[in-house]
Amino acid sequence: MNLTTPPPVEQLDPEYTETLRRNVVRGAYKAFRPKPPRWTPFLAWVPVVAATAAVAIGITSVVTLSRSGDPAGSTGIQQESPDKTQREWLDLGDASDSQARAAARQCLKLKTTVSGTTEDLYGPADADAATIRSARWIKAFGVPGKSRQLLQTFVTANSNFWFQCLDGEILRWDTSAAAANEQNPIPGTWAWNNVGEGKSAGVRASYSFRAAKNVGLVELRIRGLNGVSPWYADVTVDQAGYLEGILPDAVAEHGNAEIDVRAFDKDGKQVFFTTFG
Amino acid sequence: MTTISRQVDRPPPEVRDDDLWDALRRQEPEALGDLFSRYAVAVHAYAVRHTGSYAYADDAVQATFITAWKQFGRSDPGPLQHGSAKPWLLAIARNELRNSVRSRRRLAQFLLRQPAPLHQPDHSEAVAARVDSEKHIRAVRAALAALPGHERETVELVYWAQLSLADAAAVLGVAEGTVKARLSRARRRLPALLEEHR
Repeated sequence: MNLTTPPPVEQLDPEYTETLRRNVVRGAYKAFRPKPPRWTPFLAWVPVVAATAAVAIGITSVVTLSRSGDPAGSTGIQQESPDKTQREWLDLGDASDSQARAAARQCLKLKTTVSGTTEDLYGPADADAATIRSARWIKAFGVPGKSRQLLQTFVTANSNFWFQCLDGEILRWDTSAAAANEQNPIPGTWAWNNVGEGKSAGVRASYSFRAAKNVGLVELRIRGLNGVSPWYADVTVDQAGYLEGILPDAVAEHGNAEIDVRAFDKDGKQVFFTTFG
Repeated sequence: MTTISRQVDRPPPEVRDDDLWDALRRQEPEALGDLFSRYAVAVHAYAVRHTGSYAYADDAVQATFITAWKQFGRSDPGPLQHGSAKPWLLAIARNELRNSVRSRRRLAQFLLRQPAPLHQPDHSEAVAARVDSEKHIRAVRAALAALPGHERETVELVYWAQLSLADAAAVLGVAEGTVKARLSRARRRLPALLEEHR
């Protein structure tokens, strides 16, 4: 017996594999959603945003070409020095226990999967017995009438699963806190989308992550063709975090905008910097 | 007839993983089908070796790709890292297999409450190969079980799923040096383990 050699495995039957493949694709079609559910109200705006974006790009191109000495890179995206950008804090204070528990229940609400079955790995009852590790209000951007959102982390009692949720939606979950390492002390997921219309149209970007123990502060900014957002800043709590920001008059598209994310250790020394987009 | 294979890789694909990834970011369901065709065998083999059960592995394969699709629906994960979707899929499979422990417990409790079936269909020939394979994998896993969990997982990903050190590090969420150290420690212990299980 040699443990470094893979034990032989009977291959999947081709016919069965094809059936599985069809099931998976059918399920994907069934669940097809062009946008995450909490942005559903904006679906109606997509044509308007697209038209506005096209006009904005046209105008921006003309303006950019007519400028001289513009501090933009080869793609036309603004290249402002990190030190020159202002800072804006996201934190709006702690949420109450009842608010945190209600949001945790919403986060673990039974959902229907793409295959049409109910996802019953976790349920609202798990939220009741969970240990809330953190629950804070942070600023929200890009949704009319919504100025704050509840960011929380908690651990379920039975399975010891860790969850990070934002306004009742799961952002991240895993069983290990050791996701961060020296090369990347804040491994995570970035996302962006177009929000608003007309003069208020812009890019909303976010980054959710696990953090190494030494990380204290994290920041995100958006650079577009016509401007740069502030550094949206927040501290890490429970070795995790979430950043969100907005840049008006910009389009969420490669070549039109970029997202900078950086992290500082607890002594204020920058330990990570990366750009997405 | 069933076939036993050690090789899980397929011929080089014409479409790059990056292209499929971008199509998935655009929410194109057919790209999920292509990704499935490309990596279902690798995910299945990983799941069989991880659980020692073909039944659980079949479920895990489907669950892995469904979860993968959901992740794209939830938010844009950004560009593909390292040019291959395999480590990312194995990371999802790893989580799905952990999750399934609870579901399995519930299923077992449900089955215990059901009356025994009156008739058991006989698929003995078709099942025999799987049973032998499961026995062998369980024997290998029994030997491997003497390793700490994190070393066991590292052996599974690097030696059995044939991931590079960097890819295995990405799946496990640790530094590449940590993977090397774990393998080194596991190799030092393996000869003794093999003696015990010979």
